[in-house]
Amino acid sequence: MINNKYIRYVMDFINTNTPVEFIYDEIHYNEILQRINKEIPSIKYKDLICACYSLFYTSLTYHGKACENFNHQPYYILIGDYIGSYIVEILYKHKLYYLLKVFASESKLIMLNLLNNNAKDSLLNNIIFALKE
Amino acid sequence: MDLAKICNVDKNLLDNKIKELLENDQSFPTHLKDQLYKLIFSSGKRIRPIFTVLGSYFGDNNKEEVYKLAAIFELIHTASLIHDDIIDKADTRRGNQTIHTQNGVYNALILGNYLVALTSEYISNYDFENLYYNSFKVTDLCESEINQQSLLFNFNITFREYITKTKNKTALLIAASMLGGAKLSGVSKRTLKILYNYSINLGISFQIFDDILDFTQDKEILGKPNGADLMNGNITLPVIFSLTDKKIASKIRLLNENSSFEEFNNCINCILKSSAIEKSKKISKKYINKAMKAIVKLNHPKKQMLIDIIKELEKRTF
Repeated sequence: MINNKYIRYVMDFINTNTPVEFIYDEIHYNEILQRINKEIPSIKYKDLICACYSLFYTSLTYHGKACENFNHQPYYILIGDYIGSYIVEILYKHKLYYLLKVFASESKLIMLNLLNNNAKDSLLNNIIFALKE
Repeated sequence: MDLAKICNVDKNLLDNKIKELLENDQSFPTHLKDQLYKLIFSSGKRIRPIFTVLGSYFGDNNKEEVYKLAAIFELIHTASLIHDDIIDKADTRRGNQTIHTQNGVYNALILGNYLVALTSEYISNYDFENLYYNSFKVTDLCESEINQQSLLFNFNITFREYITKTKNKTALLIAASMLGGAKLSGVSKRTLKILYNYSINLGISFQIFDDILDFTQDKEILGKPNGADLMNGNITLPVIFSLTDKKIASKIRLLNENSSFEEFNNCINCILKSSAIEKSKKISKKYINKAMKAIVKLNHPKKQMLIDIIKELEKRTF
């Protein structure tokens, strides 16, 4: 049972509008939740931040699946795009502009690294750093 | 049709701004940059950035900043083209091999994502929180594209559904581009509303006409076979009108993803001979009229430019 309302929204959208299953990235969700609980437990919007972080990797997973599953390839591509834009949208709606900047610049670097066959990823550390500031 | 000329858009400056945005990341692989340059600079109508510049004329525009924002809108559009080409299984675009045929699907998807992240990074630096999400949500565009998948080869699509799809697919980004330039230049709320109504209706008209051209234009100019939208299962306005003609509706309704090229061609010829194209043109004209009506109460020296664009589009259409 997914308890996070932001992730549930995406899950419901995918289940209602597409033939593919929702992929819940529990590992990334728990990874950021543990860091937040340990380092900045009183932070506001904990649910939203954990959802954005976890959904970012869900989006990449869908794009990865687009290369393996040709039957539903368009859906995998479009769902990946949809989730990426959903992250931006909810950060904007909640006026979390500083986090939007972190997500935008870090995801850009992650994409550049992927294009260079490099797995370096500093998103989590930079989110935590931004939240502490 | 040279909208850039009508709007006094400095194409060289625009292209330089696009290059500047792409040149900032040193680790951007050279071969991908070359392919991206080919895709962006080989041709393309630059509709979105032109509308950004146009919107800026209704306020006190800072040319450098406006052209930078215009370049951002072109890159958002480019990212969507890269992903669309994979979905449409297109081998070529604007006479060049598509990005995914050269680099594989995964790298093409990541390149599209990179462009989206790059543009988001720039947009997040602007000091106008309402610019992006009050006028335009990328999620609307994505939702529309997802819903479109369920409408492929669905011959029961209604006129209203088609217009909603057209608005989300094309018109919203054109409107967002125009409002972006306008907001950046401090245009009043009243004028923003007028420009929104103008651009959204013009955008719908523009897409309807593109859907007509998919059937009527020389395939050498189109760069793809006539009726490619129908072959991909995308039901556009000429098809919707053809379905009201009992003589050809039954043939069209039999089409599916396994139909042969001859079966598609047969239906495409029937559509061309029917009244569907003329009826579609009338609807396109109706949205042009709505755009014209939207600016009736606008009192600004640059209003004539908006009228000239409409006249130019009318020339293209009728």
